[in-house]
Amino acid sequence: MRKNSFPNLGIGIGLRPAHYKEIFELKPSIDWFEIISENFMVPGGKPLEMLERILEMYPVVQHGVNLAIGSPDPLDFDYLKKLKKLAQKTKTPWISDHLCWGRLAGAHYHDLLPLPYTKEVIDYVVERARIVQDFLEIPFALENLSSYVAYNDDEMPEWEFYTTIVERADIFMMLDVNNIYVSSRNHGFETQDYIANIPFDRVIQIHIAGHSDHGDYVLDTHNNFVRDEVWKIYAEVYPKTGGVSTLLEWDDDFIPFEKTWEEALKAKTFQRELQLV
Amino acid sequence: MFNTAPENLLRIQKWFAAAITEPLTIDHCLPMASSALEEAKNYIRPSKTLLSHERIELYYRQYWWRLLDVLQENFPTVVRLFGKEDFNQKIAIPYLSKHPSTHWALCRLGDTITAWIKRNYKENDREIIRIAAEMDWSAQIAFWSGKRAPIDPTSLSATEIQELLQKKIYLQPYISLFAYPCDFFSFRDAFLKEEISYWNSHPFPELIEKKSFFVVFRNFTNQVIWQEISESEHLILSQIAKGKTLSIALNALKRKAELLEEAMTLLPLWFQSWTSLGWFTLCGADAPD
Repeated sequence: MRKNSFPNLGIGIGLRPAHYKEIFELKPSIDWFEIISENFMVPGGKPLEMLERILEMYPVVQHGVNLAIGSPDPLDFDYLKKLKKLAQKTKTPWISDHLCWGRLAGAHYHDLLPLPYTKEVIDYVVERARIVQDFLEIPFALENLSSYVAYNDDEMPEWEFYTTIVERADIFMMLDVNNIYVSSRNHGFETQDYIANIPFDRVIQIHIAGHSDHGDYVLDTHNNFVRDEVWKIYAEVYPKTGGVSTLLEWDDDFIPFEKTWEEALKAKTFQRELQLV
Repeated sequence: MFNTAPENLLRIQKWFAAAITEPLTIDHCLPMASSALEEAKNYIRPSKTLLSHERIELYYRQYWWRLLDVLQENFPTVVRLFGKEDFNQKIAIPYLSKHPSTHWALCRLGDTITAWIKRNYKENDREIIRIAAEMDWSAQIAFWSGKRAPIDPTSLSATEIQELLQKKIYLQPYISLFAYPCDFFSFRDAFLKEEISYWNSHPFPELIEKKSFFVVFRNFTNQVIWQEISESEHLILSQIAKGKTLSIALNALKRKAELLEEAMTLLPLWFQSWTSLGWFTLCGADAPD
């Protein structure tokens, strides 16, 4: 039985302040927006006013960057309460964050730091992921990272680590196909091996994005058009999911909103292909 | 009972965190003296193209660049006074090295920078740097602070208004008060009209010396603005900000006869203006936002 029986919202874009003016003026017929949850987990002011205006016009899905689920510090229930409160406002159909760590002894590193792929880390994260989903009372998904280091301690490939956590915790995958490509280049694995070994019925949403190729390594910079290599992965992955919500992330070196939307709409090509099949 | 992190994981995370938070060097590579350079191979596998320490350096740079960007964005006046590189070297890097972020919200990253500047920055321009940081931070707070239920005098009876004089009332969290020896806010406005790089080769805006009192707040359209206020207004609002009743705040004016006279004449107008802007609330700092 499929696990991801969630609505396919269509194609969305990450909501960023650089685009507010154009969005409110043009009221584009975009399917939905993804917000970075933490940007709106503030007491009030301009950020919440903007969010309320967006909510009047578009469905919104929450994506977080600071849960840091694999951190050694206890789960931050004050943070989770605020996240849940925001979810009640946005009516997000699910919440996602990253399979990473980012806190230690009270310090926050504000980055998505990779975990070692070991059995004991799986046990550790699975329990925490279950707690998070139970607390939020909403489907919870973890995103695969783009990573630049591999640990000596690694006992398995990334896809096995990711899949085991998601299945054992009974949560979902927020699959970033750009991250699959970036990590494949940085670690020297085949993207085909990744794709062949993940449970697509757990994929709740797909991220696409641009990256920066530095030759010796690739950085996940979200500041560029989606590369052909990544569209190729998307084309392969999307039909396997049965059709899930797709989101273009663009976080730096912004281009006009209409151009960003045009880039996201390229995904429609692959969705039409699925419909034909 | 919540689980605890496996020891091996904790060992790696402690090493990783120590490596990426080494103070940022001029060439943005890990310091030559850093033990992380030698130890990297104990934790990180080399790739076909990068050595172990080169891989951790990607995170080291990413950590610093992200946080420096945030501080530059949140302290636009301070950055213009220094220029980007000096701001990083003299303020941001030493500040972050001593005060790593302790909150998940990046917008709070600079919450103790003004106090840090006061304690640690010893150059001749320290006063203007401190004031610039204070102004920038107040604008940040005004941008995202909550609004608590405002006192609406039109809904109060004459008796209730009298009682209000004896009650503890509070300023909204998005309001900050300042008393400066110069018109720093006009200076700031002129400064922010141009990009950071512009000020590398142009004289700074004129800073007019006069004893000035200001309030920074968020208006009805959620724009952060400032306005100059009189000394009497500043004195009354400052007392309220300290948790005093309006009655005590007015008594404080008695120490300055000329202020008291002005206040007695203008207080009804001021009070009407302040309340119409929703500046007062009965909810204290511990009230939920």
